[in-house]
Amino acid sequence: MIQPLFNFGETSSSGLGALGVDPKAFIVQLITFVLAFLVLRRFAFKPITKMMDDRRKLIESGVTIGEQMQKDQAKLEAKIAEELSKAREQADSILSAAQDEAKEAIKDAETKAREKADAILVDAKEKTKQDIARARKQLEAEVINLISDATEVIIGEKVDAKKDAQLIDKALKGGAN
Amino acid sequence: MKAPRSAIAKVINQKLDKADAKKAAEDIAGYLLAEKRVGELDSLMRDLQQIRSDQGAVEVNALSAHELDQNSINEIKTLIKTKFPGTNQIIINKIIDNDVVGGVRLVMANQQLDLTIRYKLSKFKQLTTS
Repeated sequence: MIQPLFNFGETSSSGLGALGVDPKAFIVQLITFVLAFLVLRRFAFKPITKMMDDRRKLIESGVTIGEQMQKDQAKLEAKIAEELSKAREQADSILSAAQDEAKEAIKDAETKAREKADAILVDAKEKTKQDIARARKQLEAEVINLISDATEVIIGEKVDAKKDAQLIDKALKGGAN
Repeated sequence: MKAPRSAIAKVINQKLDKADAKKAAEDIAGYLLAEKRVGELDSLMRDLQQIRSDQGAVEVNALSAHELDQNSINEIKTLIKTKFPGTNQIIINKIIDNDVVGGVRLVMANQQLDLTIRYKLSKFKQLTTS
């Protein structure tokens, strides 16, 4: 039969007895407590502590990774900003070069067009001159034909047999020479 | 092989001397038709004229717009005698051609003397348009 630690109603007159604490029971309880503590330490505290350690480590590693990721993100953003800036500069310089080239090309095209127009004008003037000369020659030929035809008609009408005989006489004398 | 034109012309000349001209002409025409050489008639006639000219008989075609008078004919004969001293016979064929307008064109076997107004007008056109 287990003696209760505290005998309520039963009192001792000295020391711990006065407080109602049974030394034997106290020692047994203490041994029990120590045993329980040892058992708990062996089978409960260690796993629990280990588990809590593991969780703590996990949390810590997560925090570390998070911090690292934040740093990486910051670096990446900085790099992106730098690359963007470089790309913008490159784009600006390409655009500027393209604009200059375009201006040059336009200038060249204008110059060539002007030269071509001048050449066309010169050709046209030359052609006009030639056309005029040709037309003049044609007109001369037509006028001469007209004169010749008119002469023929007039002579045909005016020259009778007698005049013709005189012409023949004159021509033969000239032919003899 | 075809006979050369000059040989044919000689034979015709001989025929004309010996035979009747009409008969000779018929023979020549028959020959040319048989030999399919009708296109050579003009050339043949020129060859014949040349042969006769060499023999002293000059034949001239005188083209004019009006009938040639005797004076003109005499002058033509004088001119022919000047150009062909060995001539003993001059035959002038008078041809009226209004196209010449005035003056005369003398056409011989291989020569021609053009004294027509037509020729002068053509020359004028040529010189002024060249």
